[in-house]
Amino acid sequence: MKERSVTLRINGEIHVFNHVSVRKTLVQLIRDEAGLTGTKEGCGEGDCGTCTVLLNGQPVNSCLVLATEADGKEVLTVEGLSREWDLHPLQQAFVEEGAVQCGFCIPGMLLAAKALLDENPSPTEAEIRAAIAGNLCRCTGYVRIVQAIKSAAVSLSSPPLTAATGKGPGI
Amino acid sequence: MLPEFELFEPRDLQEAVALLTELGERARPLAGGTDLIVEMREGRTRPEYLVDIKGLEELKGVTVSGGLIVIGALTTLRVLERSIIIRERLPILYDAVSQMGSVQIRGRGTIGGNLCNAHASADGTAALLASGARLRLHGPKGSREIALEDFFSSTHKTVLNAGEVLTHIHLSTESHGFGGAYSKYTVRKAMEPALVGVGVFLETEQDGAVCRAARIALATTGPRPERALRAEETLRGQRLSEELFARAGEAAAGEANVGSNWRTPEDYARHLIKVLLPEVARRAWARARYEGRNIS
Repeated sequence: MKERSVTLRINGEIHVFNHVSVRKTLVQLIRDEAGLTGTKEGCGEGDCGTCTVLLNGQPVNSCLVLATEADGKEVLTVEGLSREWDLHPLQQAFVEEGAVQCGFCIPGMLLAAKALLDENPSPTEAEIRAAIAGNLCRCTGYVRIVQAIKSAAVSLSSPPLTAATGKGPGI
Repeated sequence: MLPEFELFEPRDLQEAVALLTELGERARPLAGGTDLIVEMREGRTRPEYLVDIKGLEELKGVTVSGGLIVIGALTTLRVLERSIIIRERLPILYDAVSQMGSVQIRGRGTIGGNLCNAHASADGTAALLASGARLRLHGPKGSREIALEDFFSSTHKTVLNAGEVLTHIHLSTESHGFGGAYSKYTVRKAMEPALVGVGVFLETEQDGAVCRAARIALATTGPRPERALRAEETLRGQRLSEELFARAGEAAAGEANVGSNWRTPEDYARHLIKVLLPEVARRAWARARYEGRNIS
């Protein structure tokens, strides 16, 4: 076959694309067909990690995945992390720690970090660094990114503060 | 967009073999794609057909049966890295796969792809070569089994016939007094192919004091994955010691079939083998003594 239809769930929403060329990569489908341009294409060779998305929960370089392979699967991109204006705890931590400079690597960095925290809620610094080894950042030197992932791990694993506990944040 | 090609997605091994036989050299099997897609993008290879074999579930996973560890060729590096069987029974392979690429690459790249691409610097290949792996191949004329060391014919080439597919990797579960380790030298800690990698597998006796046999494999810039036979001979039948490992390192550095490239000049590659081998052998020895301990 040279083309075929692809049905997949992106950020919880079902998308149907007809006549997808087998020559198209997943990052091209996400950006050009679904119009979700948060995912960036950098090197196109699996080195920089900026095209990282979660495919059925696993982090992949979407530049190395054929779009047709995503048929019947679930994709999470950076647009699917926040709910309306409520940032995901990882995004909130990146903001608070000042982990973002130019921002180009951040969509991929966030998803690599999410994949890590999904399977290892309290990683060590070495584990964090290993998990984002495939995501290049040329601005920050990684220190604040690592710090942000650490702090997101803490906020994600602590139980939500409710009025019933009487220990809400003192504002 | 990738260059023009037509895609096939066989549902089982029979269909995959039939397709690859029919399409011949104009087709390439597609596993994880971490090498092939990159090569196609760069125009280094232009297959007319891709046969995507990722759907062949029977070629995935790690099991133990009948005295063998059986690894499906389509098992990803990430699955191997996280496999308890590999961690406990074949830590030399864990050493190799856990240091390859990134989490993203390891989640896609397969051990079969690592072998079939036949790069001399492939970490997984060197670790399996040292471990004495055997390969199960399936083609239009049926199945056959060969030793991994007979798998590579020349630079980036294997003995796979037209339509033949690597299906499984077999390793012995025998472990008493055995120990293996792999390590590579790189400038960065991640996302870098080995400048030089060394795998050492020791079969010991007398509570780990004496080496009965050794297999040493090198990941280098040379033409093909290879064993360091003279270095192995240095260890065979000898009482193990730091001095002996140093001698084996010198032997391997001398016999290695390495060429110069822009990343590693030849004399540097030889130097790295000489210093890396004793360090890896020491770790293999520690594991062999652990496996050789008498539990009563």
